[in-house]
Amino acid sequence: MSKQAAVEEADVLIVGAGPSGAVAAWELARQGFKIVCLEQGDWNLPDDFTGDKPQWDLARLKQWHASPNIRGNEADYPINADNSPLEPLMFNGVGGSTVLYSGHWVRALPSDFRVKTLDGVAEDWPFTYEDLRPFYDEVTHHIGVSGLEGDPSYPDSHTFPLPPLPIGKAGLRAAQGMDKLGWHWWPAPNAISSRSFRNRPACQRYGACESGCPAGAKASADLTYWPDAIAAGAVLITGARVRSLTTDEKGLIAGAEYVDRDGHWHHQHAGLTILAANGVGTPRILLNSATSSHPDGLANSSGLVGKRLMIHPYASVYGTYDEDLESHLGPAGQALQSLQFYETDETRGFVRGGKWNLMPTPGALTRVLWEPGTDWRDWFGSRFHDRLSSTFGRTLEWGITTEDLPDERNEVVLDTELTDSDGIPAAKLNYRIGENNQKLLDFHIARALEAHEAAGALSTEVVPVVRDSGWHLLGTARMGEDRSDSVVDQWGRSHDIPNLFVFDGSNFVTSTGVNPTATIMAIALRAARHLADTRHDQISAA
Amino acid sequence: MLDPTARERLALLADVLIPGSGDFPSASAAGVPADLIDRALCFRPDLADALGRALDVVVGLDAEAALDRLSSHHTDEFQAVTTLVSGAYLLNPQVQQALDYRPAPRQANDDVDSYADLLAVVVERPFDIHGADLS
Repeated sequence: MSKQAAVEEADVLIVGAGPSGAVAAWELARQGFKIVCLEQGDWNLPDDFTGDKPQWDLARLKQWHASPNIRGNEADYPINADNSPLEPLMFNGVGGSTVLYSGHWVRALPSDFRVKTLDGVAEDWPFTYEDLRPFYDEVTHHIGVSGLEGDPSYPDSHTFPLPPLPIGKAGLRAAQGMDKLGWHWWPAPNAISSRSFRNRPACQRYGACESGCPAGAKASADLTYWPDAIAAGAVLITGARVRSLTTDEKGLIAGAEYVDRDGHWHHQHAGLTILAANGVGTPRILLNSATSSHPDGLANSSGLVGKRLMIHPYASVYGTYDEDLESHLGPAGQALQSLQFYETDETRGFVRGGKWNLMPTPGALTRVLWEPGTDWRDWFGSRFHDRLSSTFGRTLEWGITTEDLPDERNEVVLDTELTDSDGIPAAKLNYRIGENNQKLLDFHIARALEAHEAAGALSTEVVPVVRDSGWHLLGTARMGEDRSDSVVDQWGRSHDIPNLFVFDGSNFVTSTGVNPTATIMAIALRAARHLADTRHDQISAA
Repeated sequence: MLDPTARERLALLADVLIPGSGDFPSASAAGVPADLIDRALCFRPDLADALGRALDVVVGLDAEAALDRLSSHHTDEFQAVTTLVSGAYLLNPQVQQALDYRPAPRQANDDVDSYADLLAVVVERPFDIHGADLS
């Protein structure tokens, strides 16, 4: 797909073509706004991905790794994560991180929006689950999510346009274990087609979701909302890396300065500007937009731009079984999910909880990759074939996403030395796992081991904090009603600058304990529709 | 592309890392030091330099001693060797057959019937939902 031509004037500039930018572009374009989106990456076609090719096992560790620091594509920017136990993961291209996400399509729960009221921690959100529910429904049906109605862990019996994906032998074995324990499980909702849906074929079970779907079955935003947005008139400029936002004499956002892949600098003017660049990219742009009149960056009178970073520390608990469970097959994707231990139980010694996902373990190479610091003889020689044969197709993962409570010491700042390939200051993460979160992890890991044992696992292995798990970059420009302790209001509009909006996961008040993409997109759709509905009240740059 | 001497060194290391066993061929028998290492390097050209350094480090050492040295003192190089050798080995059809590896594509068939009885129990069990407005 060719790059669309630049336009001089736009009603709305969107920075970032990921899931929130895509849904906003579609909603606003169809409502008559002239939209320009700047995206530093490019389009990818399903054939670009290697999941159906011999090189996948090797390429997923480098060219299609989820960390921009390891992948190092031209479109990527480096992130200093030396002060973080979690590596930030993302994709820079049309569709954003949905290109590489695993498609776990999980709504937050009602309690997630009321943690102060219910649990006495952090803050309540400025809206409720019930407010967001119609937007969850709309996005779910627009993009084609596969799932089964009736999960009793939710207060409503929300529907899916596609039947659930197969849970397979692996899912059935794990479900039998949960059944013995009397614990909740459900065939998991996935943003992956179980049958052909609009422009996407059915999943072909490559299991390569996290390195890009070679079948085009995954509901990544480049395949869902972007074609619709472009058809509605939105202009998407790829290879356009934004350095900073500019302001006019009234203090409004005038637009953005960006550099193209030929090294030429441009200015895109717009009446309104929406940042949709994820929880690292958005604060990076705001902080890089500092001027003498805004020395701490734009929209930062609260001092919270970049603060309260939440990443969801993730634990993997593997079980290896006595039979071939075809756990090399996708989707990956989740077969099951469990919310058994999601809600607060104060007798556990911590608040909030986590969501479990049963994942396959595709790829033979990852079964035999040596871990530095270990004796190579434990991996190779006579042990190589034993390890390979006993684990390949027989190993399941209970993955645990844990609620990460906000802490102002966890932050995105500008690195004083590191820059991207265009000389723009890079982001640095200062992040540590909080005490509540650590207790939560310990509890859930112990329960997940019990789940594997109940299912008859021969052996188990725990990775208590998976370093390469920092997909969920949240909270660094939080929403709220009080301008002194939040960056944007419930519609994503900056308290400081009325024509500036933040629509990505930066605006989360708390992290919830579930995969955030469904919530990010529902919030973005709600905010974009409100913006359109109140267009005559909006204050635009001239 | 590796020269013949480098291939010989690689073969010595590879066969200690992956010996033959039952239906599984050794690394050399699978063709790792011959053509498969070239395919693996095509897929991961970023590892070529580290592989080259590893093969330089091990000159004059027997295979076990070489692997001990690499894994203890040259971990990047050892990771490159083991990743490439293992990745190349798994490209061999005989290895995949021995592993009973039948890769996708597969149809995503609906299998709700296989677990409907288990799920009925989940539905019947009370679930404590916090904070919902059920009005």
